[in-house]
Amino acid sequence: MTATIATTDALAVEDLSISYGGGTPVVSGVDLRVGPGEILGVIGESGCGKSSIGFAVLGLLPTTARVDAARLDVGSRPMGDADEEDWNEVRGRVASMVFQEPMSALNPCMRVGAQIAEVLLVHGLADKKAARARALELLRLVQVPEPELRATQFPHQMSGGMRQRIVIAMALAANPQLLVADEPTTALDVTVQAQILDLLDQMRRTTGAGVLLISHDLGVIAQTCDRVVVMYAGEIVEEGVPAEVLANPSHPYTAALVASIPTTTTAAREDLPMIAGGVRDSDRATAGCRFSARCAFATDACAAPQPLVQVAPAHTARCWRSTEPELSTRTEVTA
Amino acid sequence: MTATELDLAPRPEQAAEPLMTLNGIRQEFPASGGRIVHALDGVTLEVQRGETLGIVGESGCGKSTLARAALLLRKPTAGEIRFDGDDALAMRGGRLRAHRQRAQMVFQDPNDSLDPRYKVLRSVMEPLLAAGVPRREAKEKALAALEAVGAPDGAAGRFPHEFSGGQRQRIAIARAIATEPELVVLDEPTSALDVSIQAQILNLLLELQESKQLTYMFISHNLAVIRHLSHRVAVMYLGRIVEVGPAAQVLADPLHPYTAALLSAVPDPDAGKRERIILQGDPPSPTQRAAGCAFASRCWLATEKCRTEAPPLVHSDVAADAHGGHLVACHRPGEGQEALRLGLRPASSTTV
Repeated sequence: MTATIATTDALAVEDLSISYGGGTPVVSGVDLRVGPGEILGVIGESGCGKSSIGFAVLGLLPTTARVDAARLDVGSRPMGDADEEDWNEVRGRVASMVFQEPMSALNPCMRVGAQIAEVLLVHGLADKKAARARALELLRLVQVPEPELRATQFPHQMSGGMRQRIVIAMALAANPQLLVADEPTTALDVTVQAQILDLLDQMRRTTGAGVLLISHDLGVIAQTCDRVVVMYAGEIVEEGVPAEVLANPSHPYTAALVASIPTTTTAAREDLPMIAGGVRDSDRATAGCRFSARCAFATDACAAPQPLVQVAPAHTARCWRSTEPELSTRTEVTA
Repeated sequence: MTATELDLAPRPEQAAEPLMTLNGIRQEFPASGGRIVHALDGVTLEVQRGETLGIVGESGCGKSTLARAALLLRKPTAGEIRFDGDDALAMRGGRLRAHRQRAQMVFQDPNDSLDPRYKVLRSVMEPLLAAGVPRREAKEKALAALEAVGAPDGAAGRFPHEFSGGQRQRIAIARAIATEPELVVLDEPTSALDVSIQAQILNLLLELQESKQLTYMFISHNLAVIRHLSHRVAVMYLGRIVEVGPAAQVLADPLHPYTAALLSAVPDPDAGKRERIILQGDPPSPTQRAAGCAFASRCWLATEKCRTEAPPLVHSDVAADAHGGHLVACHRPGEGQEALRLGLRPASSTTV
């Protein structure tokens, strides 16, 4: 593996907002930075905008989507005003994507070796012979047993975990600076999930690619990521090191989310704390805290715009009450 | 399997007759090339009245096939099912219809049990009408069930698409409890839901179990959810039960190396980074029936004996309570977990 360890950020995004068809933005004011070899987790529930971010940083949103950003640097390329031609050059080469469902990312009628080689051929990075050799090298890199045999097989001849390894090999083919992984293990069994997360962790070390890992699974984030951002209704509500954010959640939404999940330490067969209500469209349009309508700690002051507040070194939360000591043990969640 | 008989020592708290007994259930499906898929390879289980029996395992282990067999949705190839002492597989006609009222199912996708063209009331009434309950009484019972699950006001007169995924699952649960069943089989009922909605549904299931004295067979790949709900847990691998016992024992002190590996593979937000067993490879094809232990091909403890001789599901001396109903099918019970506890690294483990 000839790894070029990057020195520039894999991704730098400032003030990103995304809206569809002129409606309320589904993502607003999002700042993200993924360093080389770093895994940044993005966590949140359905509709929080996490997948839209993943698509936006690869220029994959439909034309009905409006993407605005003060800065959108993918690897060393400023993509803020990029057109489709610019994106074609970046996708697969500077940044690539690992999807939830590997079968939808693979061509069912093409041998996997050829599919991996195709990435290099399309970008003109290798001739046919070199691309084929590199495909085998990549299969070895992602620890596919019997790479020569597997290269000649079709996706349907492989298990889900093996297919996801192929997708990761394709994503890494051109030595990208950024890997966007959108729920890469959600369709996999836990023992296979462990293999794939382990592989992602090794790959970022050997290739130096930064990873944007989008997931709804707090456990996956805790185990894999260096930093995490928590999204709610299109906004980042908390950011920090996963162990710190999960142990000391400082935004009431993060606290409620963490509390609602059964873990090894929750009391069996006792009621789990719940978050009342749901996200309404109007929550995304409010100038103040978007969670306030469901929050047990909300006051009138929450109607004012909420900046990210520093609660600890490298730990911020979008809640003006987040530094109050009496709120630090947020066991009191509305039922 | 060499031994399908349970090694049952007297247990005072479970002296009562089980609600359902599955004995040596086999389910075979024809596959291409004349091969046979052994989806269930001799499953023997008891479901006690009022308990939640968690069934955990990965895709293809046969857990959903087991659910369907238990509810007589598909007749098993071999084996015996006793429900409340009666031979369930021998039931026909009216007796079978009456039986179906007593055992209901909740699916992962609520759309599987709610017809999009029917208003909610009709879907919830359907199992009652099928059982011959008069229309007026069926309507009353359906409305009561919708109220019991906390469905929104006026839900009965609306269509499934008007509800969120969580609300739809509530309605599917209402349909399942409308006939006042004793047994409810839940197949991944929260897997398609967001975690905050999952908490609502789990709380509802606990509350209903208490108020209606329901017996649950709860199928999930999510160990944390299984741990939260179950009194007892059965772990499946490739159509066989490899370990079964009280949830606290199986999940804290697993005796089978597969259970140990499964537990250590689950990313736990509370545990952070820790020693994990990462199993190599994938489960073998269920068309190839293993002569020995089904897990031997991926087990780091496997010996020649494991590959040739199937271990019976029995009590083990190394269990915390040697006669407490904690059964394991392994020639080297407890060794997988012991190695992790001592910090010895099994060949296939890594710290991440």
